[in-house]
Amino acid sequence: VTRVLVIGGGMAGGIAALAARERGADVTLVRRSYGATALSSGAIDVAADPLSTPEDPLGSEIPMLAAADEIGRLRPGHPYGVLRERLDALPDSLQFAQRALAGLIGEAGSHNRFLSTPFGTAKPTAMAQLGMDAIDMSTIDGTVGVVHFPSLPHFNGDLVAAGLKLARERLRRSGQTLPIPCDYFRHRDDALLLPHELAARTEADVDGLANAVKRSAPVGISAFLFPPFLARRSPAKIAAALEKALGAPCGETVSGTPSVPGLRLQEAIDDALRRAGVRIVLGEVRAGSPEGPFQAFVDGGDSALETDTVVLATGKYIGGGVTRAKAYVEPVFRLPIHSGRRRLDSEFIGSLLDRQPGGDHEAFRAGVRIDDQLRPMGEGDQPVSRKLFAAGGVVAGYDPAFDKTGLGVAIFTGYLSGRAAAG
Amino acid sequence: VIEPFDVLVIGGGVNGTGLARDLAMRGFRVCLVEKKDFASGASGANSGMIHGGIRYLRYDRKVTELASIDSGYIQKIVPHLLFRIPFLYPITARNASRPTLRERAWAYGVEVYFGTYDQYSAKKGGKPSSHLSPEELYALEPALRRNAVAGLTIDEWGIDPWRLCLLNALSAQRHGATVLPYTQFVSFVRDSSGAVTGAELRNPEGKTFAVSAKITFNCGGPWAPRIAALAGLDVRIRAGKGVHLLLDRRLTNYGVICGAVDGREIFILPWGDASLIGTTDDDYYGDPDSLRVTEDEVEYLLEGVASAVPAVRQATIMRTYAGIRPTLYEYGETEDALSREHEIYDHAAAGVPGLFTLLGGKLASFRVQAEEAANLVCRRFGRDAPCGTHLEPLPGGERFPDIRASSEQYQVPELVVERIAHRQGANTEAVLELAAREPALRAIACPCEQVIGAEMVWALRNEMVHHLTDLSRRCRVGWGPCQGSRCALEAATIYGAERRLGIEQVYRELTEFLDARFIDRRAILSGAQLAQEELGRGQHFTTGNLDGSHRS
Repeated sequence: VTRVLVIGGGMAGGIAALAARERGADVTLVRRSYGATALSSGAIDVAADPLSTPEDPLGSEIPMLAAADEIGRLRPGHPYGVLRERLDALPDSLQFAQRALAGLIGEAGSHNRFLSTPFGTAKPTAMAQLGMDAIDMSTIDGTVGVVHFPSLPHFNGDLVAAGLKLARERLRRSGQTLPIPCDYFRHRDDALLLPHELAARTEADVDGLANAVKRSAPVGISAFLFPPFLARRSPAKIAAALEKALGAPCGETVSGTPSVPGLRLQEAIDDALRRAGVRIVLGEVRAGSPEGPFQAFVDGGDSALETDTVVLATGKYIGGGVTRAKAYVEPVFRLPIHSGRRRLDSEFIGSLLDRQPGGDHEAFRAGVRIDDQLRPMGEGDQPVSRKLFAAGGVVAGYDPAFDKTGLGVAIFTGYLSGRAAAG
Repeated sequence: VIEPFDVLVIGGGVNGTGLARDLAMRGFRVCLVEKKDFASGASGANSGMIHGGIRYLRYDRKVTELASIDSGYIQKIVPHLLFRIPFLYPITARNASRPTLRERAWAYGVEVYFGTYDQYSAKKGGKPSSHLSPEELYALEPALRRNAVAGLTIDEWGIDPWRLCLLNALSAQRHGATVLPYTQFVSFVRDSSGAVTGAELRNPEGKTFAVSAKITFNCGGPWAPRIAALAGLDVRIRAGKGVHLLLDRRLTNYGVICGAVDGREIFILPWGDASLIGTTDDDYYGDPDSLRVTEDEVEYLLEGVASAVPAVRQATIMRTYAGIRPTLYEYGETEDALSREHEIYDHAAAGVPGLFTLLGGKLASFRVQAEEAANLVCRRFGRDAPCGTHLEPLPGGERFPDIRASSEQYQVPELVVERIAHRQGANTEAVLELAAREPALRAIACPCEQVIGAEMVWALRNEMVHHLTDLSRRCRVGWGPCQGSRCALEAATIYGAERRLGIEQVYRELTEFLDARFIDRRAILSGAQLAQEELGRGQHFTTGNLDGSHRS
């Protein structure tokens, strides 16, 4: 039996571990703590249409897989470019992830859906949590009601409704978008509650919430949007109960940070890992030569954890898979850092940044360059080892904020690297 | 065309706003124009010290004396904006247990020097310096490196420089001045004799219009040479770039003066919940509108502070800012030795009557500089109007509120009330009244800086806010550790609702706000700050999709 060590427990590491396990490997996953996955929005971006613009978000209306191929063609350094010949496995990987996280995540369609956000924008994304994926701004007609709690200032229904009205026009949909102020959280100190505390409250009292919405909602609403804290654990159940009570589809917007949906996603990954029999070790992998044989020392322990193959899924800056102090470093194996094809060492940060925060920054494409077998490349054009693989944020060439391909790349590379590592 | 003015003041920094106030209080018809927001240049990019400038004593006793006296007056007219900030000056030796003769001589010299400064210090309400043993020094400031043979103290004052400029402008307005922020000076209007008789201005909508004024005062600071050049004049400054860093925590209890690698003195001081490190002083030849901090400057400051406070290497830098000192031109001096003296030029001598330039000077002596300039205007007009700027409090400075009582009455945490009080002074209760009337405004909209919605709304209604970015200068929104990840959307929402803006304009303001914050972080994206940046980008562009869907 192949022994696989996965370093990192977010989406990429989790899917890699599950994929390796499915192939019969003996899998140990070492993680330091929760990272970027637990802070994510609840949606899983795979490939936004690269030909879309803010004014024309539907772009060329190509299917998602074609959009991924287009991104790979336009950006050869992007993982979709490096793995372009293998993109036909992308739908398999998404299905694999959806099955593993079935209670939480809905299925991907052939095209992107456009989900509402707390900013009042509509965000193109492939799949999302159940109850979040039901209300697609690019398909829904009629009056959409945005339920909000005026006592909680952190989700402003007026702004969201005004933004979605614009978004729906751009998505060429008709129908009204109305804020529905609701007096459910009306206690004076409710404004101090954190999102996960609010979610625990609504989860425990869905009837109370439904009645409060009923009291203030006008008739003829064809869908109700809620702030992204409907439920601490299973939003689908709460959304279904609300739908039954209110007589129209109910769902959440995606979430900013701190993110309840992000926590749910991370916990669903953890549940799936446990069910699959993956050994989870909390700690930090200290050393190991990238050539192998791999001996990982976890958390200061003296005994080496021996393994046949390794999947490096340590994330980017939030996870700590890529760091930059004086120079760029990949801390576990000291692999060289690239941004696309450019080797990054100790250049000034200014030369790696765009003028605007949302722009195309080389600094945020930094990572480990991989070959089409997902093996990290060394200083030459050769993989450092046949037994070391990389997945997710630590991989060079993609920027979740700019490309809108974040968790999609994590799933795709996690799936391929996990299978490769299992042999 | 607005009415004919007596005086047109160009520039909304501390000199321009101070002069506009003084003239308006003396009954002149004044117009003040500023191309952006008040204090958006050098007047808002300094250490915020209303100090005597012990550093200048070496070169310029007069500057120290003037600044000390004026600092005393400024404390009286805006007590709520001021905070006391005692400084420690560790005198170090390579081997602290056995200082060399040279090191002992240096220690003696420094002590005498501080003794001299005491003569001035009293003028600004500062306590005299005191001598500390190393043990006393470390007891006061445990974060210090243990290489001191003695320590000295000096007593200084800090101020909120953004609000100081704003309050001057507000006061000028109350005394009848026409105050025009976000109005660009385009060119001078001149008569056939070449005298300046007014100016062509451009309003925020891009429409140009002319104003006439008998006297025009160029208070452009770093931009003053450009303004003067439009009248064919050669006004020269020795532009000095000064960089500051803000850390995410208070590392020290007191200000600490540290030696940089080149022997220059720099400092770290506690500023609210943060620590402020300053400053560099390097000749700057570039465009004052595109000032950028570099990683070199950041490292220079960190290295210097780490020599006295090693823990600075463990802190995270939240942001940086840079300003240009419009110091008077001199050739052949190092930057530090340049005089901080101010100068008033009457350009009649150069064939351009009606135009004056007020240049140089210190934040701490802005008021007396303005008084001098206003006296000159009085003489020109043959008027005998006394200066009143040292007697009349600036808006909010009339009274300091009872923080505990207000906190109880309005059910707003004391910490929040205290912060409002140090910005709003006598208007604190009026701000809290807004919160009482609209409970949603009681919630904290900017958690890092503990700003409630009511204070933002108050600023929007009363403090000439033209853009969301101005709100940071009014009440520090977005200036804390998260740099807007948590508050930008809320601030934009409050702004949009108050101004009844369309959603596209709200997004535009929000994007500009994020862009402005990003400029301040470009040079510090390293270590933990990169993770924070990844988080903030995730919030606004992955989740928020504020950049539209995708751009290739």
